[in-house]
Amino acid sequence: MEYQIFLAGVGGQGILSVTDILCNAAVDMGFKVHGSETHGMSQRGGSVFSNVRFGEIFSPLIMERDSDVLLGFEPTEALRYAPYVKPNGLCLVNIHPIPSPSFTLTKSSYPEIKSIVLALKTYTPNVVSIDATKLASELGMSIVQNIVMLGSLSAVPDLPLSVDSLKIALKKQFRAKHFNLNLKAFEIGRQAYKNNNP
Amino acid sequence: MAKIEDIFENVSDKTLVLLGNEAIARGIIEAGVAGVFTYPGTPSSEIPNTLYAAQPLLKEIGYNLYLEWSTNEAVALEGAYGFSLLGHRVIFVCKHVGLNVAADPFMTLVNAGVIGGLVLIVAEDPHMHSSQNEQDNRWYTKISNAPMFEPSDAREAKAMLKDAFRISEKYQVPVILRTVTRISHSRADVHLDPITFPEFRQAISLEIDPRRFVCVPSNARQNKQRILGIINDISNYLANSPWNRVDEGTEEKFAFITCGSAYNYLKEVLLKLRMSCPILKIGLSHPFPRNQVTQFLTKYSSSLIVVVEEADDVLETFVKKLAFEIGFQSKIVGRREGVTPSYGELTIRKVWNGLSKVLNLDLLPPEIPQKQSELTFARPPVLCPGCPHRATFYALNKAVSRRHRIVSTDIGCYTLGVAPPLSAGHVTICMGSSLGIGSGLTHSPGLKDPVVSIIGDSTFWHTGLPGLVNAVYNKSNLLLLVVDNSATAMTGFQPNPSSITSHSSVETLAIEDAARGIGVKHVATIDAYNPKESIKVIKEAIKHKGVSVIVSKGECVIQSTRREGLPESTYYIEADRCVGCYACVNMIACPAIIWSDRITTEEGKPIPMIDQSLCTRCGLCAAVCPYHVIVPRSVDEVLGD
Repeated sequence: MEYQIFLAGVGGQGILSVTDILCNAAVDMGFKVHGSETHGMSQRGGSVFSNVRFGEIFSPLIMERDSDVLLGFEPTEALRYAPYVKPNGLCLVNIHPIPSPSFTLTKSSYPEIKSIVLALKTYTPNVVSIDATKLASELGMSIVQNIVMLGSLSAVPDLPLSVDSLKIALKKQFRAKHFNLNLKAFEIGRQAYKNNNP
Repeated sequence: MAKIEDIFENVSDKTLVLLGNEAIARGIIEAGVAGVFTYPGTPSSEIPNTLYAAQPLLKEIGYNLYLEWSTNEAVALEGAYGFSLLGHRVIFVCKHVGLNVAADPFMTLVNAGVIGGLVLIVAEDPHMHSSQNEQDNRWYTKISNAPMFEPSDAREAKAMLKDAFRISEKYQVPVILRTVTRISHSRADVHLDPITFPEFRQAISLEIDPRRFVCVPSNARQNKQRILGIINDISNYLANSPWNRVDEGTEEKFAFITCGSAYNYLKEVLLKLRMSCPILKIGLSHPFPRNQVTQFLTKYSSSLIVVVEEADDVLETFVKKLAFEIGFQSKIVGRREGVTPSYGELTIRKVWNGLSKVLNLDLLPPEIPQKQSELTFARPPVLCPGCPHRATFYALNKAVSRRHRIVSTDIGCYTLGVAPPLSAGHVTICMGSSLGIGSGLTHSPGLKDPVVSIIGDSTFWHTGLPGLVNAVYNKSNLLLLVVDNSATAMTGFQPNPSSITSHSSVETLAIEDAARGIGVKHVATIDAYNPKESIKVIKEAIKHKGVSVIVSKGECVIQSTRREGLPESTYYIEADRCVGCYACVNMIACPAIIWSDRITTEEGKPIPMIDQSLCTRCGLCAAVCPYHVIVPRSVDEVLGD
C-alpha cells in the first residue's frame, strides 16, 4: 500500500503544520512515512509545496500524475501543481485567491476562480472546492484555513488515516489554548467536504 | 517541526517523525558531542537551530553543549579543531558553499588530523532552491582525502553520524557527512537511541604535538604521507563495511550501483517497473570502496552495470576507472550515457526516463498534460510586507538614480531587492562579494556612475570585513550600505555579532565602530523606516570621496513582530481622495498593497488598498504617497470599514 498527498500553496499559509500533522497521524497508524518540503529563500511569500507519502515508499518526492490527493491551499497554486495528481485522483482546493505582488505591479487581475476550477478538471474530474479562508474567517481567524483544509481531507473516504489519529496529531501540534479553535476549524472543514462533494 | 522536548527526550525506545536535520541534531547528542561550530545556511540551518533551542533543556539533564554561531565557516572549522585538539567530539555544520569558505583550514587539517572526533556535516542544495550554485562536494574528498559518508535518508544520517565519529577517532582524521536538501528537509519516522553524555577529559595539551600540528613544510610533508597511509588503512578496515551493501535481486540483466539520495529514486522506479535487480548501495564513498565494487562487478560481469547518482558523475568516474584497472569487460553506463541529467535535483520521473532510454524499457512514466499557462503566474519569493530593506532601497532609489549607478549586492534576504521596482542590485556572487566587486568596479577605467555596495549585518561580519579593509586601503570611491536588520533572517534568525541578544555569553559589536576602526572617514547611521532622512544622508554620502559607510537600521519585521506583536495603529488608503498616481504600487511593491474594486471618480482608474491580513503597519506607503491619502487609522476602524 502507498498513499500520497501533495500540498501546495503560498509561503505563510501553514502548509508545514499540516504536513507535520499528517506525518504524525500516519506514524500513529503504523505507517512508514516520508515527506519533503520547502524551506529557506523560497518561503518568503513564494509558491511552496510539500509532499507526504506513506506506506511502501522510498522517495521523499511525489512523481507527476501519481498523487492520490492534491491539497491546494490557494487556487492558482493548486493549478501550478495539478500535474502531480493522479488522472483519477482527488483535487481538494481552497478557492480563496492570494494575488502576487508582481500582479499588482503589472496591473493584471487574478484569473477567474471558475476558469481555474475548470482547468483543474482537465487533470482529474474529481475537484472539490472549499472556501476554507471564508470558513476560517467565520471562526474569527482566517489563518486556520489550513486546518479547515485538513478537516476536508479527513472526510475523504479512501484516506487511510483515521479521524482519531488526525485529531491526536492535531492536539499535539498546537498549544492547548489554540486547540479548540483548530478543532472547530477541522470539524467545519470536514463538514464542508461532505456538503460540497456531490 | 517536532517539539524540542520530544526530540531530546532521554529515551531508548521511541519513534518520532523528524525532519532530516532534526534527526541529525538528535544524532549529535546521541554521539556525545561536546561542541558544535557553525555558520547558518540552507539547507543545513535546522541542525544548529534545533540544538540552540534545546540548549537550556540539555543543560537541565546535565548535558553541556557548547554551540557557537561562528562569524564564518573558516573560523567555525578552526574553532571546532580547537575542541578536537583537546580530545572532545565536535561537529562543524555548513551548507555546501560554506566548505569553500572553510576550504583553506580544511585542506591542511585533514593532513594533520584530529585528536577528538571531528565530523563535518555539509548540506548540498541540488537545483539551488536557496543557493547561488550547485556544487558536488564529493570532489572535496578526492582533493583532501577526507573520508565521506553519504546517507540516503534521515534515519541513515543519524546512524552514520555515530560511525563517522568512530572512524574519525580510530584513524584521527576528520570525516564528512554529506546531506542534500531532500534529506535535510525531508521528514521520516526516526527511531531514537539513548543520549550519550560527553566525557570531559582533563586538558591534554601535552598531546598537541607541534611536530604534527604546526604545518611548516617539514611537518607538512610528513602529514601528507600520514593521510595517504590512513586512507589506505581505512580502505582495508572498511573493505566489507555494511554501509556499502548489496540489495539482492532476481533479475540479473541489469546491476545497479548507486549512493545517497539517488538510492531512493532508483528503488522507487524499480518498484514501479516491477523489476528486481541487484543494487550496490554505497554509503561510505571515500575512500572509494574498491573491494566491494570489484566484488560486485565480478559477480555481475554478464550484466549491464548502471550507475545512478545525484549531482556530478563522481561515483561513475571512479567505478569506470576501477573497471579499466581490473580489465572489466562488460558495459557500464551512467551520466555520460544519459541515465541521469547533468544538473538539477533527481526525481522519480527523471530516473525513470533515464533508465527507459538507456535500458530500452517499454514502460515509460505517465505523460504530463500541457500546463494551462494563461491561468498561472510566477510567484517568486519577495521581501515581506514591512521589510526594512524595502524602505532602505526606496530611499536609495530616491537618492541615487537607478539609471546612473552600479549596485553590487550580497547574499541574504536583501538579494530579493534586485527585483523591480526596487532594482537594488546588478551583481551578487557569493558571501561578502559586494565589497570586493564594488571596489574593483570603482577602479575600472571608464566608470562614470557611482558604485554602491549593499551588504547585510551577518554577511558584513562573515566576509564583508576583509573587503571593507581592502576598499579603504585601496582608496576606492565606494558607498557601502549596510542593511542591518539585526538578524540572519533568511536562514531562520540565528544571532550574529550585531544582532539584539539577551545572551551573556556573547559580545554585541557595532558595524559603525568596525568601519571607523578600519579607517572609514564618513560613517552614518539611518533609521530604515524614516526614508525622508535616509534620502538626505545617502545623497550626502554618495558625494564623499573615498569609502563611506551607511548603516541602515531596521529590525527584521518577522523577528520584531514575534517578540512584540504588531503596532496598535495600522494604515489605510482613503479611496475618496486617491488620485491613482500609483506611487505606492510602483515604487515599493509591498505585497500588502493590492487592487481594490473601487475606481477614481474623475478618471475611473483602479484604486489600490491595503490588505490588512498582510500589512505589518510599517507606514512606508504613507511616507511614499505624495498626496498623503495613506493615513494611520485604528485597526478596529479599518476592519469595521
